[in-house]
Amino acid sequence: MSAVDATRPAFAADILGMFDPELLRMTAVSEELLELLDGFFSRLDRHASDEMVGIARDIAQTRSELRRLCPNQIGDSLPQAGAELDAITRDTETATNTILSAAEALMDLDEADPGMKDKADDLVMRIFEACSFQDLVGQRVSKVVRVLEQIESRIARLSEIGGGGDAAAEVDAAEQRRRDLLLNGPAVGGPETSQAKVDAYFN
Amino acid sequence: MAKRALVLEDSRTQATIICKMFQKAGCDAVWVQDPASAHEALKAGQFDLLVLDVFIEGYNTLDHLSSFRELAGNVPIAVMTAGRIDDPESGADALNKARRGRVNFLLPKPFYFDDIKQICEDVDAYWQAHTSQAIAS
Repeated sequence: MSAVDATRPAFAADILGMFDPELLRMTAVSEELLELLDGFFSRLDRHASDEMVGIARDIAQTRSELRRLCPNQIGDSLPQAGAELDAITRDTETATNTILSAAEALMDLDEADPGMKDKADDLVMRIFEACSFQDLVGQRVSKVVRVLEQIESRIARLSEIGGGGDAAAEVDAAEQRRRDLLLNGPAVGGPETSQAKVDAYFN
Repeated sequence: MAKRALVLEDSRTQATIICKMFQKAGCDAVWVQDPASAHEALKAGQFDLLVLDVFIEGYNTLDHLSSFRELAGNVPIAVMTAGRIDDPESGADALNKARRGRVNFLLPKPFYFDDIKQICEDVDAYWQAHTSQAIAS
Protein backbone atom coordinates (compact mmCIF):
# COMPACT_ATOMS: atom_id res chain seq x y z
CA MET A 1 0.00 0.00 0.00
CA SER A 2 1.45 3.41 -0.96
CA ALA A 3 0.07 6.80 -0.09
CA VAL A 4 0.95 8.23 -3.52
CA ASP A 5 0.27 6.35 -6.76
CA ALA A 6 3.33 6.47 -9.16
CA THR A 7 1.07 6.35 -12.24
CA ARG A 8 -0.58 9.58 -11.30
CA PRO A 9 0.57 12.78 -13.11
CA ALA A 10 3.16 14.99 -11.43
CA PHE A 11 0.64 17.75 -10.66
CA ALA A 12 -1.44 15.18 -8.84
CA ALA A 13 1.55 14.37 -6.65
CA ASP A 14 1.91 18.06 -5.96
CA ILE A 15 -1.67 18.34 -4.92
CA LEU A 16 -1.53 15.18 -2.81
CA GLY A 17 1.63 16.49 -1.20
CA MET A 18 -0.47 19.29 0.18
CA PHE A 19 -2.43 16.80 2.37
CA ASP A 20 -1.38 15.20 5.58
CA PRO A 21 0.25 11.80 4.78
CA GLU A 22 -1.77 10.20 7.59
CA LEU A 23 -4.94 11.43 5.96
CA LEU A 24 -3.87 10.01 2.63
CA ARG A 25 -3.04 6.68 4.23
CA MET A 26 -6.49 6.56 5.85
CA THR A 27 -8.06 7.41 2.50
CA ALA A 28 -6.22 4.48 0.88
CA VAL A 29 -7.34 2.15 3.68
CA SER A 30 -10.92 3.36 3.22
CA GLU A 31 -10.74 2.64 -0.50
CA GLU A 32 -9.59 -0.92 0.17
CA LEU A 33 -12.33 -1.37 2.76
CA LEU A 34 -14.91 -0.11 0.29
CA GLU A 35 -13.69 -2.65 -2.29
CA LEU A 36 -13.98 -5.43 0.28
CA LEU A 37 -17.47 -4.32 1.31
CA ASP A 38 -18.53 -4.02 -2.32
CA GLY A 39 -17.54 -7.66 -2.89
CA PHE A 40 -19.32 -8.71 0.30
CA PHE A 41 -22.53 -6.91 -0.59
CA SER A 42 -22.58 -8.20 -4.15
CA ARG A 43 -22.28 -11.79 -2.80
CA LEU A 44 -24.96 -11.01 -0.20
CA ASP A 45 -27.33 -9.64 -2.86
CA ARG A 46 -26.89 -12.70 -5.06
CA HIS A 47 -27.59 -15.02 -2.11
CA ALA A 48 -30.66 -13.01 -1.06
CA SER A 49 -31.84 -12.89 -4.65
CA ASP A 50 -31.55 -16.67 -4.96
CA GLU A 51 -33.55 -17.02 -1.73
CA MET A 52 -36.26 -14.69 -3.02
CA VAL A 53 -36.50 -16.60 -6.30
CA GLY A 54 -36.86 -19.83 -4.31
CA ILE A 55 -39.61 -18.36 -2.13
CA ALA A 56 -41.45 -17.03 -5.20
CA ARG A 57 -41.23 -20.48 -6.80
CA ASP A 58 -42.65 -22.10 -3.63
CA ILE A 59 -45.49 -19.57 -3.50
CA ALA A 60 -46.33 -20.19 -7.17
CA GLN A 61 -46.33 -23.95 -6.58
CA THR A 62 -48.54 -23.60 -3.50
CA ARG A 63 -51.00 -21.42 -5.43
CA SER A 64 -51.14 -23.94 -8.23
CA GLU A 65 -51.70 -26.79 -5.74
CA LEU A 66 -54.42 -24.77 -4.00
CA ARG A 67 -56.19 -24.27 -7.33
CA ARG A 68 -56.03 -28.02 -7.91
CA LEU A 69 -57.57 -28.66 -4.46
CA CYS A 70 -60.79 -26.95 -5.71
CA PRO A 71 -61.69 -25.16 -2.45
CA ASN A 72 -64.92 -23.95 -4.11
CA GLN A 73 -66.19 -27.51 -4.26
CA ILE A 74 -65.71 -27.85 -0.50
CA GLY A 75 -67.49 -24.53 -0.10
CA ASP A 76 -70.53 -25.99 -1.88
CA SER A 77 -70.46 -29.22 0.10
CA LEU A 78 -70.35 -27.67 3.57
CA PRO A 79 -73.79 -25.98 3.53
CA GLN A 80 -75.18 -29.21 2.07
CA ALA A 81 -73.66 -31.23 4.91
CA GLY A 82 -75.18 -28.74 7.36
CA ALA A 83 -78.60 -29.19 5.74
CA GLU A 84 -78.24 -32.96 6.04
CA LEU A 85 -77.39 -32.69 9.74
CA ASP A 86 -80.41 -30.42 10.29
CA ALA A 87 -82.59 -32.98 8.52
CA ILE A 88 -81.18 -35.77 10.70
CA THR A 89 -82.04 -33.81 13.84
CA ARG A 90 -85.56 -33.11 12.53
CA ASP A 91 -86.21 -36.71 11.40
CA THR A 92 -84.91 -38.15 14.67
CA GLU A 93 -87.02 -35.80 16.73
CA THR A 94 -90.16 -36.52 14.71
CA ALA A 95 -89.63 -40.27 14.93
CA THR A 96 -88.96 -40.12 18.68
CA ASN A 97 -92.13 -38.12 19.28
CA THR A 98 -94.20 -40.54 17.19
CA ILE A 99 -92.78 -43.57 19.00
CA LEU A 100 -93.31 -42.01 22.44
CA SER A 101 -96.90 -41.00 21.60
CA ALA A 102 -97.70 -44.49 20.31
CA ALA A 103 -96.11 -46.10 23.36
CA GLU A 104 -98.14 -43.85 25.66
CA ALA A 105 -101.31 -44.68 23.75
CA LEU A 106 -100.47 -48.40 24.05
CA MET A 107 -100.16 -48.07 27.81
CA ASP A 108 -103.51 -46.29 27.97
CA LEU A 109 -105.41 -49.03 26.11
CA ASP A 110 -108.35 -50.48 27.99
CA GLU A 111 -108.10 -54.25 28.49
CA ALA A 112 -111.86 -54.51 28.56
CA ASP A 113 -112.15 -52.92 25.11
CA PRO A 114 -113.01 -55.66 22.52
CA GLY A 115 -111.20 -53.65 19.83
CA MET A 116 -108.01 -53.45 21.89
CA LYS A 117 -106.06 -55.88 19.66
CA ASP A 118 -106.73 -53.86 16.50
CA LYS A 119 -105.90 -50.60 18.28
CA ALA A 120 -102.68 -52.09 19.61
CA ASP A 121 -101.77 -53.35 16.12
CA ASP A 122 -102.33 -49.88 14.66
CA LEU A 123 -100.15 -48.27 17.31
CA VAL A 124 -97.38 -50.81 16.81
CA MET A 125 -97.56 -50.14 13.07
CA ARG A 126 -97.10 -46.42 13.79
CA ILE A 127 -93.96 -47.34 15.71
CA PHE A 128 -92.71 -49.41 12.76
CA GLU A 129 -93.40 -46.53 10.38
CA ALA A 130 -91.53 -44.11 12.62
CA CYS A 131 -88.53 -46.46 12.80
CA SER A 132 -88.15 -46.31 9.01
CA PHE A 133 -86.44 -42.90 9.46
CA GLN A 134 -83.31 -44.93 10.24
CA ASP A 135 -82.72 -45.72 6.56
CA LEU A 136 -82.81 -42.10 5.43
CA VAL A 137 -80.70 -40.99 8.40
CA GLY A 138 -78.12 -43.59 7.38
CA GLN A 139 -77.97 -42.14 3.86
CA ARG A 140 -77.73 -38.58 5.17
CA VAL A 141 -74.93 -39.50 7.57
CA SER A 142 -73.04 -41.17 4.70
CA LYS A 143 -73.19 -37.91 2.73
CA VAL A 144 -71.86 -35.90 5.69
CA VAL A 145 -69.08 -38.44 6.22
CA ARG A 146 -68.14 -38.14 2.52
CA VAL A 147 -67.85 -34.34 2.84
CA LEU A 148 -65.71 -34.70 5.98
CA GLU A 149 -63.44 -37.21 4.23
CA GLN A 150 -63.11 -34.83 1.28
CA ILE A 151 -62.10 -32.00 3.60
CA GLU A 152 -59.73 -34.25 5.54
CA SER A 153 -57.90 -35.39 2.40
CA ARG A 154 -57.55 -31.82 1.12
CA ILE A 155 -56.27 -30.53 4.43
CA ALA A 156 -53.77 -33.39 4.47
CA ARG A 157 -52.58 -32.37 1.00
CA LEU A 158 -52.33 -28.74 2.08
CA SER A 159 -50.25 -29.85 5.05
CA GLU A 160 -47.97 -31.81 2.70
CA ILE A 161 -47.55 -28.78 0.44
CA GLY A 162 -46.70 -26.64 3.48
CA GLY A 163 -44.12 -29.25 4.46
CA GLY A 164 -45.44 -29.35 7.99
CA GLY A 165 -46.27 -32.38 10.03
CA ASP A 166 -48.96 -32.51 12.67
CA ALA A 167 -48.07 -29.94 15.27
CA ALA A 168 -49.47 -30.47 18.73
CA ALA A 169 -52.77 -28.60 18.91
CA GLU A 170 -52.87 -25.84 21.44
CA VAL A 171 -55.65 -26.19 23.98
CA ASP A 172 -57.21 -22.94 25.10
CA ALA A 173 -58.60 -22.40 28.58
CA ALA A 174 -62.23 -23.05 27.56
CA GLU A 175 -61.35 -26.32 25.81
CA GLN A 176 -59.24 -27.41 28.77
CA ARG A 177 -62.16 -26.75 31.10
CA ARG A 178 -64.52 -28.73 28.85
CA ARG A 179 -62.08 -31.62 28.91
CA ASP A 180 -61.64 -31.38 32.66
CA LEU A 181 -65.40 -31.41 33.15
CA LEU A 182 -65.86 -34.21 30.58
CA LEU A 183 -68.39 -32.13 28.68
CA ASN A 184 -67.07 -33.15 25.29
CA GLY A 185 -70.01 -35.39 24.52
CA PRO A 186 -70.28 -39.16 24.48
CA ALA A 187 -67.18 -41.03 23.38
CA VAL A 188 -67.27 -43.12 20.22
CA GLY A 189 -68.12 -46.69 21.17
CA GLY A 190 -69.23 -45.94 24.69
CA PRO A 191 -69.52 -43.41 27.51
CA GLU A 192 -66.52 -41.30 28.48
CA THR A 193 -66.67 -42.66 32.04
CA SER A 194 -67.60 -46.27 32.66
CA GLN A 195 -70.59 -47.06 34.84
CA ALA A 196 -68.26 -48.96 37.20
CA LYS A 197 -66.21 -45.82 37.75
CA VAL A 198 -69.34 -43.77 38.34
CA ASP A 199 -70.56 -46.34 40.87
CA ALA A 200 -67.17 -46.27 42.56
CA TYR A 201 -67.49 -42.50 43.13
CA PHE A 202 -70.67 -43.08 45.12
CA ASN A 203 -69.51 -46.08 47.14
CA MET B 1 -104.58 -67.68 0.38
CA ALA B 2 -102.12 -64.91 1.33
CA LYS B 3 -99.99 -63.38 -1.38
CA ARG B 4 -96.21 -63.81 -1.16
CA ALA B 5 -93.78 -60.93 -1.54
CA LEU B 6 -90.03 -61.27 -2.01
CA VAL B 7 -88.29 -58.29 -0.38
CA LEU B 8 -84.71 -57.38 -1.36
CA GLU B 9 -83.33 -55.04 1.30
CA ASP B 10 -79.75 -54.88 2.62
CA SER B 11 -80.66 -53.27 5.95
CA ARG B 12 -81.93 -55.74 8.53
CA THR B 13 -83.79 -52.98 10.39
CA GLN B 14 -85.55 -51.76 7.25
CA ALA B 15 -86.33 -55.32 6.19
CA THR B 16 -87.99 -55.98 9.56
CA ILE B 17 -90.10 -52.85 9.23
CA ILE B 18 -91.12 -53.52 5.62
CA CYS B 19 -91.90 -57.21 6.21
CA LYS B 20 -94.02 -56.38 9.26
CA MET B 21 -95.97 -53.85 7.20
CA PHE B 22 -96.59 -56.39 4.42
CA GLN B 23 -97.65 -59.03 6.95
CA LYS B 24 -100.05 -56.57 8.55
CA ALA B 25 -101.46 -55.84 5.08
CA GLY B 26 -102.11 -59.56 4.62
CA CYS B 27 -99.11 -60.47 2.49
CA ASP B 28 -96.41 -62.97 3.51
CA ALA B 29 -92.98 -61.41 3.11
CA VAL B 30 -89.75 -63.29 2.42
CA TRP B 31 -86.62 -61.25 3.03
CA VAL B 32 -83.35 -61.55 1.10
CA GLN B 33 -80.33 -59.38 1.81
CA ASP B 34 -78.46 -59.31 -1.53
CA PRO B 35 -79.24 -59.47 -5.26
CA ALA B 36 -77.74 -62.96 -5.70
CA SER B 37 -80.07 -64.36 -3.02
CA ALA B 38 -82.99 -62.59 -4.69
CA HIS B 39 -82.13 -64.24 -8.00
CA GLU B 40 -81.94 -67.66 -6.33
CA ALA B 41 -85.26 -67.13 -4.52
CA LEU B 42 -86.97 -66.06 -7.75
CA LYS B 43 -85.68 -69.18 -9.52
CA ALA B 44 -86.68 -71.45 -6.63
CA GLY B 45 -90.05 -70.11 -5.52
CA GLN B 46 -93.30 -68.58 -6.67
CA PHE B 47 -93.97 -65.01 -5.62
CA ASP B 48 -96.82 -62.57 -6.22
CA LEU B 49 -94.74 -59.42 -5.76
CA LEU B 50 -91.08 -58.47 -5.93
CA VAL B 51 -90.02 -55.53 -3.72
CA LEU B 52 -86.59 -54.07 -4.48
CA ASP B 53 -84.48 -51.58 -2.57
CA VAL B 54 -82.48 -49.33 -4.93
CA PHE B 55 -79.12 -48.86 -3.25
CA ILE B 56 -77.57 -52.12 -2.13
CA GLU B 57 -73.89 -51.76 -1.19
CA GLY B 58 -71.96 -51.20 -4.44
CA TYR B 59 -75.04 -52.01 -6.51
CA ASN B 60 -77.87 -49.99 -7.99
CA THR B 61 -80.93 -52.17 -8.54
CA LEU B 62 -82.26 -49.76 -11.16
CA ASP B 63 -79.31 -50.64 -13.38
CA HIS B 64 -80.17 -54.36 -13.19
CA LEU B 65 -83.95 -54.29 -13.57
CA SER B 66 -83.86 -56.33 -16.78
CA SER B 67 -82.37 -59.35 -14.99
CA PHE B 68 -85.01 -59.14 -12.24
CA ARG B 69 -87.78 -58.71 -14.82
CA GLU B 70 -86.53 -61.73 -16.73
CA LEU B 71 -86.56 -63.93 -13.62
CA ALA B 72 -89.80 -62.52 -12.23
CA GLY B 73 -91.75 -63.04 -15.45
CA ASN B 74 -95.13 -61.31 -15.08
CA VAL B 75 -94.79 -60.84 -11.30
CA PRO B 76 -95.32 -57.16 -10.41
CA ILE B 77 -92.21 -55.29 -9.23
CA ALA B 78 -92.20 -52.52 -6.62
CA VAL B 79 -89.11 -50.32 -6.18
CA MET B 80 -88.33 -48.47 -2.95
CA THR B 81 -86.61 -45.21 -3.86
CA ALA B 82 -85.01 -42.51 -1.75
CA GLY B 83 -84.77 -38.89 -2.89
CA ARG B 84 -81.31 -37.34 -2.97
CA ILE B 85 -81.19 -33.63 -2.10
CA ASP B 86 -77.68 -33.34 -3.54
CA ASP B 87 -78.92 -34.54 -6.92
CA PRO B 88 -82.37 -33.20 -7.84
CA GLU B 89 -82.29 -35.07 -11.17
CA SER B 90 -81.88 -38.45 -9.46
CA GLY B 91 -85.65 -38.67 -8.92
CA ALA B 92 -86.37 -38.23 -12.62
CA ASP B 93 -83.55 -40.63 -13.45
CA ALA B 94 -85.02 -43.28 -11.11
CA LEU B 95 -88.50 -42.82 -12.58
CA ASN B 96 -87.25 -43.24 -16.13
CA LYS B 97 -85.20 -46.31 -15.28
CA ALA B 98 -88.19 -47.80 -13.44
CA ARG B 99 -90.47 -47.17 -16.43
CA ARG B 100 -87.96 -48.69 -18.83
CA GLY B 101 -87.61 -51.71 -16.50
CA ARG B 102 -91.40 -52.16 -16.49
CA VAL B 103 -91.65 -51.55 -12.75
CA ASN B 104 -95.27 -51.63 -11.57
CA PHE B 105 -95.06 -49.70 -8.29
CA LEU B 106 -92.83 -47.01 -6.83
CA LEU B 107 -92.47 -46.69 -3.06
CA PRO B 108 -90.63 -43.42 -2.31
CA LYS B 109 -89.06 -43.42 1.15
CA PRO B 110 -90.23 -42.71 3.77
CA PHE B 111 -93.42 -44.63 3.11
CA TYR B 112 -96.22 -45.59 5.48
CA PHE B 113 -98.41 -48.58 6.16
CA ASP B 114 -101.21 -47.12 4.01
CA ASP B 115 -98.82 -47.10 1.01
CA ILE B 116 -97.97 -50.78 1.54
CA LYS B 117 -101.66 -51.60 2.03
CA GLN B 118 -102.52 -49.89 -1.25
CA ILE B 119 -99.82 -51.82 -3.10
CA CYS B 120 -101.12 -55.09 -1.67
CA GLU B 121 -104.63 -54.19 -2.86
CA ASP B 122 -103.28 -53.30 -6.30
CA VAL B 123 -101.37 -56.60 -6.43
CA ASP B 124 -104.59 -58.48 -5.58
CA ALA B 125 -106.39 -56.61 -8.38
CA TYR B 126 -103.53 -57.31 -10.77
CA TRP B 127 -103.64 -61.06 -10.17
CA GLN B 128 -107.43 -61.14 -10.33
CA ALA B 129 -107.34 -59.42 -13.72
CA HIS B 130 -104.53 -61.73 -14.80
CA THR B 131 -106.51 -64.84 -13.79
CA SER B 132 -109.65 -63.55 -15.52
CA GLN B 133 -107.69 -62.99 -18.72
CA ALA B 134 -106.20 -66.49 -18.50
CA ILE B 135 -109.63 -68.04 -18.02
CA ALA B 136 -111.11 -65.97 -20.88
CA SER B 137 -108.41 -67.05 -23.28
